[in-house]
Amino acid sequence: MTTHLFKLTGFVLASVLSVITLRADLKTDEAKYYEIVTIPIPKGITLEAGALQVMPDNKLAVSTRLGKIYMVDGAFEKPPARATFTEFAHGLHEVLGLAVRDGWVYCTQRGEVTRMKDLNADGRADLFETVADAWGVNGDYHEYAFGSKFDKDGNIWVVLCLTGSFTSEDPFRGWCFRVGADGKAVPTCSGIRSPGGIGANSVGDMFYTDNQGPWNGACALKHLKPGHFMGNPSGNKWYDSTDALGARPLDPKSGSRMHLEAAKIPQLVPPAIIFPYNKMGQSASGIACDVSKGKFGPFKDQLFVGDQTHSTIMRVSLEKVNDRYQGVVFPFRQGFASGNLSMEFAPDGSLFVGGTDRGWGARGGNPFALQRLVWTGAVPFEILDMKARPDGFELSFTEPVDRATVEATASYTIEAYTHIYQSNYGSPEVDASKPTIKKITVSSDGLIARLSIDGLVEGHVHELHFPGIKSAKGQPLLHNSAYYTLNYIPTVTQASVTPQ
Amino acid sequence: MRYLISRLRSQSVCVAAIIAQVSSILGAIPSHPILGPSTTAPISVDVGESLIAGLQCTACHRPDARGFGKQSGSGPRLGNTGLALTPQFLRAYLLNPQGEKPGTTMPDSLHGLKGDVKAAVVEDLVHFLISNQPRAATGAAAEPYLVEQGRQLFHSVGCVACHAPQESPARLHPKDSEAAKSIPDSLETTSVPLGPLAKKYEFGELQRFLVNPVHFRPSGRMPASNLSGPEAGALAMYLLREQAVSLADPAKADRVRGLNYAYYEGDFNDSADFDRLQPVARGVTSNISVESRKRDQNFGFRFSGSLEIPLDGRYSFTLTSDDGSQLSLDGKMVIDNGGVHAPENKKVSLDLKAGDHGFALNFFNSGAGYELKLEWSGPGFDRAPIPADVFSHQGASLKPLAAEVFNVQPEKVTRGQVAFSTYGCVACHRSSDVASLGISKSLTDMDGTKGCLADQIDSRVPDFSLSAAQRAALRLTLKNKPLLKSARSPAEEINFTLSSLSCTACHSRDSKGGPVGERLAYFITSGNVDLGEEGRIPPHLTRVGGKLRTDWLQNVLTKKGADRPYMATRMPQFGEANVGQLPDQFAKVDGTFGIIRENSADLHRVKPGRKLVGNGGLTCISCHNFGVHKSLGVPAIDLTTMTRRLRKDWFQTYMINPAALRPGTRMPSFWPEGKAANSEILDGNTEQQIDAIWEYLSKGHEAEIPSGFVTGKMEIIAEKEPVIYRNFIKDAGSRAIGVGYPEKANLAFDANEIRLALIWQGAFIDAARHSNGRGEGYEPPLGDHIIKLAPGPTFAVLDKPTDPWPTTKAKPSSYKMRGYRLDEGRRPVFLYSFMGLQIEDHPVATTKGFDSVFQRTLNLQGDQPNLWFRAAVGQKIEPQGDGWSVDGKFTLRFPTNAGDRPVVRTSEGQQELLVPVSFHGKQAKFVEEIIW
Repeated sequence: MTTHLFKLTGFVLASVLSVITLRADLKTDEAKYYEIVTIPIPKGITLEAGALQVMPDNKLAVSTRLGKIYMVDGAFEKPPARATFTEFAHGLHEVLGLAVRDGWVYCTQRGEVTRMKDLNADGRADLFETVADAWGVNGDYHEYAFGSKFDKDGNIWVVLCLTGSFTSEDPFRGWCFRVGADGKAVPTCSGIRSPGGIGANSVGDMFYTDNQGPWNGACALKHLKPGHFMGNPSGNKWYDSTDALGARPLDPKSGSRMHLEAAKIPQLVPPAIIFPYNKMGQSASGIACDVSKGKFGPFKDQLFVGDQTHSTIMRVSLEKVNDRYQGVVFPFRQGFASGNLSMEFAPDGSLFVGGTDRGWGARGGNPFALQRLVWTGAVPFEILDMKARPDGFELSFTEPVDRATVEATASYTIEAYTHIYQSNYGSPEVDASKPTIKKITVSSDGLIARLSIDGLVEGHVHELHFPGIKSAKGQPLLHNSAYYTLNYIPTVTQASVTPQ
Repeated sequence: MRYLISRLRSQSVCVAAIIAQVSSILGAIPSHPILGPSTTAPISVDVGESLIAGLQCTACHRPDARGFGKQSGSGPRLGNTGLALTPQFLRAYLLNPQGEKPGTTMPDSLHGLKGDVKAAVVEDLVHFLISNQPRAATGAAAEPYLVEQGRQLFHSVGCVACHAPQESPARLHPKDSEAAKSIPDSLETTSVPLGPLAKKYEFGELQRFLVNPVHFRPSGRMPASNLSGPEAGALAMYLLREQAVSLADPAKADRVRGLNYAYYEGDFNDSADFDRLQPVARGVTSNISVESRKRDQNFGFRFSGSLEIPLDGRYSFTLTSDDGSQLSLDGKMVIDNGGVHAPENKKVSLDLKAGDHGFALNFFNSGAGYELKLEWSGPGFDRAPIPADVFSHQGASLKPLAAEVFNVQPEKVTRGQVAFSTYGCVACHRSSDVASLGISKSLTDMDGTKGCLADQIDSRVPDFSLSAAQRAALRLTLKNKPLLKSARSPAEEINFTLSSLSCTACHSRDSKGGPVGERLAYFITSGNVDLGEEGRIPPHLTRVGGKLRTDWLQNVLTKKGADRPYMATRMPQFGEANVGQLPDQFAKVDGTFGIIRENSADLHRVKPGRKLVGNGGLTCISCHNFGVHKSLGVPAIDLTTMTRRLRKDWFQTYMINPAALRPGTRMPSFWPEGKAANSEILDGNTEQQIDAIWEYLSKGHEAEIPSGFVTGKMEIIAEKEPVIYRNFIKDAGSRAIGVGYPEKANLAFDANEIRLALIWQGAFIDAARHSNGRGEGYEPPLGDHIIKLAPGPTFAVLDKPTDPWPTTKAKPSSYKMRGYRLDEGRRPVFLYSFMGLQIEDHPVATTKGFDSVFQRTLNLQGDQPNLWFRAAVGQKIEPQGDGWSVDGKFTLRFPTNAGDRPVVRTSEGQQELLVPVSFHGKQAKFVEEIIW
């Protein structure tokens, strides 16, 4: 009903792209800092990697969409030319979650969480126990189930896609469950549409990615916390079947805006990160948190989120404002071989990435792939982090900056916009505005810049480009764009003091 | 409101006057012409110009340099090349056009006449019109399924882009729990009116109109929606559903030609057991034939209706079929030609009374060839096929509302012909028999204050019932002489056409137009296709002349060329005369997208192009169809038509950044920021890659198919040890655990209902369905001798042995699936629990001669009195040797169960084989052998 009020902004997109400084070859430049190592897959194995798990014996467990689990030996070698694949299990139903505990391998299949054990030590599982099957599934392709690793209380979190990604035809489609060690499955969150991955941040809070579609104007990273309603009401009829989350939340009004509805519906939590469509991918997928304490480079505790269509990995930094997560996403690495889906940090601080493009095309072009992203030890000139401040943003850098270029407002472009929160599929970017930079202060060590901005818009994505910024050594940024989801503007007391 | 109107319309007395009264009271019914439907951000054209075109002003007033459409000035065709309309409609409509069809653009030309005088002139006109029009095509009976098909067509092919919807989205899509439950009120007054169709048309006439509306209304404002004859029939039936009184009241059903048939698909082994099946299709057939089958195996038909016996006497029927068939007359089976067999005939002779006899014929074919023939002989005629005219069934015949007996009176016809000329009807409704009046003032000679636009309209000119705003807009335009004397620019011509033909009801151009929010819910994708808004909203037309080749645009506009199979809304046809000029105008106005790079003469480019399109390249076939090959995911536009549709300069630009030209598209860029994502093929040269794809696709249907389409079977074979396949398996549920054994016996365990669901022999399963695309749907067993085992719970506690077996679902009751363990031969031992009992269910496959055997050991830990195991359900379970035969399909033995004798009982109309389970020392163990 309201769409005619908002002008489509497609041609704005074209103009935005033109301000991005084109680099000679970004992929080559990225490779100087983060190298993609491809693990060769033996002929005859279809390794559409749905989930990854580094095992206690340092083998890599890889589950596939066709229901097999392989143990990969030698995946850490460089080059991994001698990697061997051994079948641990077969015949499972589209495994999109793997975890390990007490000698059991846990997997999340479409219909259940299962644990497996090799009883006779022949390298193959021979006991398959159903741990939890509290939800329904039918023959629809979209009814995927993604499972997390264990949280600090020993639970696996399972996010369930809607039926056909539009409706909820079987019990609890569109919900998140926590599955305890005892197999008890507790309804935890509602409002899910079409997940692409699930993972925890450095303090153990759980997040999942949800894809553009009904009630999702763009793909997003969302915080799962017991009681949260994630935004898509199609599965809310199942509140009638459980008391776990209390009363059914008020239905959101289609055609409204997320921040307006979130102010009315207490259980509704705005996405922590919006990935503007086409700018930051088109199908957000796996989530992995860098807790390697420096082995993966300077981005300590940040989240790395895959994109299936663009075959990329994006970098996310979160902060809590108003007791809710929000933050920034930056481009990080492109050029993966297939559609990135599963991601897992290894103890050595390298990042395994599994891909598939079956059913959903991907830039990488290969039907499937297993790769490892390894930090070369060189630190790129990047925006390390971006935090919201009551009157603007604070940028920190991986190395000292050239003060003159950072202090020049001409080095920046800023645009703010949001999406229509609606039952129709996706949304154009709407309600666009152009905030202006009033003042820029750079800290004495040249590592932090404080931007005072006129016209911040609460609830809107703030898209910044930094075409003019140079490091003290005269280098441009490796990636000169950032997308901050400003759900809430912090008050003075919420924001930390800017170091000078 | 709608109800009130339809009630009023069904009254025969002075309907129009009452409606006029009601409308003035309620104000909700428009009392002025509605030219087009509401759209988003209307396209910028002069409102006065739209009115001049829409009201056909140029039928009387000559335009200047500014034309108003080639067809403006031609109203609906009357006479013998037009449609037959009912006299009751014509009379009411001529008496009060706005009253009978609120919102109509037809003026009241008789408004100066009153009372009996007006009634007499109208009567003359009705006689004249009826005398000239063709005989009405009639001849159909309403069928509920056709009405339903019409209901879906009306609300999906595009009718409701202009007309008001008649159902809520929830009524149309009952499975969608989010669909709106009501019809948006606002559309009633912002949509093009339909008028009282049920009063106006015989079924056959409306069907004729819907197939080719532009023929009957050359203005093109009602386009053809590319309906086939049967589709137009279904749509007409829906729109005329008020005529079929007996749909609501079966007691009023009529005898209608032809037999009803229902078509089924399923595994039929010995009888056509249709009662448990939903028909795949229904229809009416004039004779007994299997022509409408959709496949050659595993199908069945049920024909039903009446057979008319001409004379009392003895009749013989010969029924020939391959495979089985059964004939019933008056509810009694008279020929049983059942079973799987080669063509075989059976005969019966009966004494029958003249008149209608209840007729039913069932037929099925399982495999190999098929044949069905029913012949008869009787008093005075030899054996022959039964002719169509003795078959009939009860149906709802369609009769226009308020039908009357009408006899044409020549003297009224003569007077009517004069009136048709005198009152100016002929200006719009051209007729060779009627003299036309002289042309009135030209548009540029008027000031808009007199004639039709005067405050008090003269009785000699027509009254269009214009609203004050419409009148003001017309006056403003008519005063603008420079405007009327200047021709439109091509850009203005485009806007004028898009607006006057309501193209903007579906399409936007330069962010103007497109469906309004209230109508959006009615734009849908066909099938369950996940293509987002692109899959359901017709494409925008911004710079379309730079995008599409002129010949393709011509093809789309005038030759039904449409290439979006996923979109339910159909691109309608407005007629060459109305839109034939658009392609050139678009090309002129929309410009190019840069310089077309020449195709290289190097034919080797075709190969890298193919590589890019296929698997391992950019895998365009993930989403795009390729000729007859369905994509691996969503069915986006066929790649083999791309170069016939698109201009190359647009393609070059689009590929770099699709979203810039098509906001919101899900087509990703494979050359982000101009850099190739694939750096290997053609060394990652962006321009060369895009050109190579173009060259490859230029081969169209002749192009070698790209790699990545898996067409073959992917049979899973148990070689040395069993293989497991957990997936969607037909008749074993969404959590089936299929197991193939090296002994070539297979089973599927249903982990939802916790039961052994299926057993079969031979090949295990084809994994292709679930390994391709997105992996949806249920895969049936690949082998043969497929046995479906009893549905429902395996174990139950029966307090009394006569208690019915429970029908509860496993999940909410106390069943729990616990998984499976593999034995030393890697055969699964299924683990589940029931009421605290821990159960191990261990099938082992063996063979016995030509038979397959599952030896199934059931081991229960715990204790539970009155526990029973249900081994089988069937029509006929009888002892056979030391076991039991179930419907002759398989045999069950219980070798270790000497103490607990199984019992056969009849319960709920079927036979059951139940095994009592007794515990000894907290354990019960027994073996069941399934032999088939």
